[in-house]
Amino acid sequence: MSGRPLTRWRECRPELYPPRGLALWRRAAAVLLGLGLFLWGLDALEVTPGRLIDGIGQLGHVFMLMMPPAVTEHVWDYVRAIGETLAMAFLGTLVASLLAVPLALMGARNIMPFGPVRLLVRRSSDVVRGIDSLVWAIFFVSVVGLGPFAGILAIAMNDTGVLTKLYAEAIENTDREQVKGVRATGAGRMQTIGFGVLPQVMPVLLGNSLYFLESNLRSATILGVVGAGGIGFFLMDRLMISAWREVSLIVIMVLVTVACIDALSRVLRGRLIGPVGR
Amino acid sequence: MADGTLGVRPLQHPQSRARFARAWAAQKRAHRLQWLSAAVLMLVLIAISAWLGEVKLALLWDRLPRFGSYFGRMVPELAWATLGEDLAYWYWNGWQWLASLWQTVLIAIYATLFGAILAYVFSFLAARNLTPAPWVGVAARRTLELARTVPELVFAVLFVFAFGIGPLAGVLAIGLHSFGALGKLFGDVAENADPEPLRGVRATGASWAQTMVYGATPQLMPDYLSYGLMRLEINVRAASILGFVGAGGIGQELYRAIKNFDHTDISAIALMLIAAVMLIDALCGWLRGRVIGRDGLRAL
Amino acid sequence: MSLSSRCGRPNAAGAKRVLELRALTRRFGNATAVDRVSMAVGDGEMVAVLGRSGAGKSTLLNMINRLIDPSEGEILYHGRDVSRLSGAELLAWRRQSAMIFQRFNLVARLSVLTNVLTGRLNHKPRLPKLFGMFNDQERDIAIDALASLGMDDHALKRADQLSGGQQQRVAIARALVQEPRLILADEPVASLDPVNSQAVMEALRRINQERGITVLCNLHSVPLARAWCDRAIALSEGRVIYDGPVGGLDEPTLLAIYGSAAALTEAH
Ligand SMILES: Nc1ncnc2c1ncn2[C@@H]1O[C@H](COP(=O)(O)OP(=O)(O)O)[C@@H](O)[C@H]1O
Ligand SMILES: [Mg+2]
Repeated sequence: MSGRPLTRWRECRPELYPPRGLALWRRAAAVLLGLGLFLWGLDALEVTPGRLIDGIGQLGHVFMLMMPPAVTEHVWDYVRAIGETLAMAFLGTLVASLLAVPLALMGARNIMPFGPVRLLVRRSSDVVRGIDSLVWAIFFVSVVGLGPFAGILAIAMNDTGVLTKLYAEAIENTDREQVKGVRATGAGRMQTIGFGVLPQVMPVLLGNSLYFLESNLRSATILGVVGAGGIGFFLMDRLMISAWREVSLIVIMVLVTVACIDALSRVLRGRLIGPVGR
Repeated sequence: MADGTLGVRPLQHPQSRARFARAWAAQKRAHRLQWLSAAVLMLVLIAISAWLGEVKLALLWDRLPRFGSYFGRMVPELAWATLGEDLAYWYWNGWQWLASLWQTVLIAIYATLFGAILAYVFSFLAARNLTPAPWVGVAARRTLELARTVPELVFAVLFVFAFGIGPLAGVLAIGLHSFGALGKLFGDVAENADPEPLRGVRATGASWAQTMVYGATPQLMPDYLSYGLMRLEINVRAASILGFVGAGGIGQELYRAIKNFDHTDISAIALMLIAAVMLIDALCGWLRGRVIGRDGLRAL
Repeated sequence: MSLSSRCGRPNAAGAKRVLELRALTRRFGNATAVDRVSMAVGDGEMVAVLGRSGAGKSTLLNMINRLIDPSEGEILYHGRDVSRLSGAELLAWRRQSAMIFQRFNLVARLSVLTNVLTGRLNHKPRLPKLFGMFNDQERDIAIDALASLGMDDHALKRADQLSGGQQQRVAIARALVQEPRLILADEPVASLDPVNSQAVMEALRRINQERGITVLCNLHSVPLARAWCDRAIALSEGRVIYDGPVGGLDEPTLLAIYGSAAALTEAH
């Protein structure tokens, strides 16, 4: 630097330099091992460059076939099916939110003193959660028959599991001081929960429910694949007969609907939580 | 005056007191009206949805007993004396299922990796404070929106068509959706990045990419990792059903069992799946705790 | 602290001009933060920029380094206008005009050594650096810089584990490894205690004298300027109201800079 002789620091401070010799080999071996593992995984997933290139070509081909979207006499069927899809997401989320509140109270450490009940609620919510709503849809189709009702039940089922866990965690994170304050006024157990706990978690609960309404709309669009109503049935049907231009129309309709609901939910969330909870 | 004892200054003029009462009542009425209209709107929405969704509560009530029998049939016959044989009979195809389950987990891991790496790059393009140019930011945000709005299963069907039946379609489908979802989350985190270190690095003459690597990445990485692990949990669940449309994994086996009414197979596969999901949740939770707990990454 | 300048070299009025500002202006909306500032800085000078908070000192320095784009005017460096540079040339200019910030602006989660090495990002080879690879020679340079500031023992600590004074010295080391011809320091000691302020100002002065690097230094107090700099430039509402030796900062001038006698005593 500016003509000054440079000190060779490596001799006295080797820890500030990349390793050399044996240590370097060890590091290289670790990198190679990682790379090998990665490639082995790719092999297990049957990923080959040839398949990737072929597939991308095919995808381009399909994309060309999709253009332009075809507006046929089926459009009104699709509109109704999207309505069905919205209804499924809405009712499913609503039922799940309503069921999840008492369940979450039973699963929260600071509300439910009786351990076994708490454990039962939390573990069964884990199990219910672990099964995708599509699997629940298959199950409910066999119980109540084909149609959107099975879809509603499937969404409600899966979400009750998810929301119970989320709500229970939110309730466990409530501010203890506020709860104590309510109890100090001589409130009973139910009143303490009603005035001390619920007001604190309400924004979280509502915000989560709205978020799940968005995410459930996405799930609801595919439940039709197994006959549980909604636009998914048409989407699958048109895909199977390679009616690509109708597929693209349906996809566009779904995208527009989801975008609208997202925007609506963002507005509502802003109202409910206020400007703080971005 | 009674309220005088509470230290509240009573309203002096009967006239102004009346005005206050009227305003109060109006306010209360407006408030009640708001609540009422919200409630009515909600009820109307519920009614329309119930009609569109063909809700048949009576039917559900009727069929409730089927729940029991459905689950009843799923319970395998296990006896203490012959437990080993019974288990072997229940899991008659256990090794095959285990292999499929492993494939499901692999799909989830590679899809998360693929989605997260792309999302990492796009988060810098999309974040308003980091984007190299406003139009790049807009383009990046639109791309992410598109990727996360299309459900995984729709991508999966398309990719099965293009890339053939098998896990590759699953990896790409979940990866693409994860890219959209993670890109949004990463972008939100990046928009809150501390500008000071960014300026510090930029002032040295670092290029945009260098500024992202040295100024932005170190502060964002813990959050990115945490979100990525959360996504992995979600993706394991998503990967478990892709087999329904031929995109690899345990879903194929599950779908076959359901279609053929092999009830004990369903329970066997479902149990394995739930166990795997719980295991991975626990693992991710532990890793996340370490990422957040250990204050920062190894200094470079 | 003695009021007389500690500078060994003569006031560099006669020295070769390296940096020249011509009617440099920056507007934010309707407000003008820097208003037609013209000045010339000689080679190897150490210049204090004084002024009340909001006078436009930070904006001026950031404009010279081009972290902020000027609205109007020219920045000549050895006669070449750098105010319109873009792309690789802009980055190279930023490397040559190193910045030091009031709040250090280190990357908290990186090691001290890596923070210093970020000063080498604009030097070739650039691609390996994107993957965290710096060669031995660059590490030598970085550790040299740390050692010259007495910070080499902390090289592997995380930057946010250091005290403010230590962090600022790391930031100076980062500036040094850029191999700059100009150092722009924006209130480098404003968030430090007196002992650390002393050490940091001393380091800047030493760099100025030993390496002949020109230093422009925003300062919040007049005694600091008197103690460490050759020359002072005072801004008020974005305009230059004093430009001369620090010895010429008399009572009326200070009143003009700081507005009121109350502010004056505060500034001391
Ligand atoms: N990014 C900005 N946007 C709007 N106004 C700014 C911005 N930066 C600085 N200013 C304004 O410009 C003026 C000068 O600011 P600054 O250069 O930071 O002053 P100093 O460093 O002398 O305290 C102030 O009035 C400040 O409010
Ligand atoms: Mg300032």
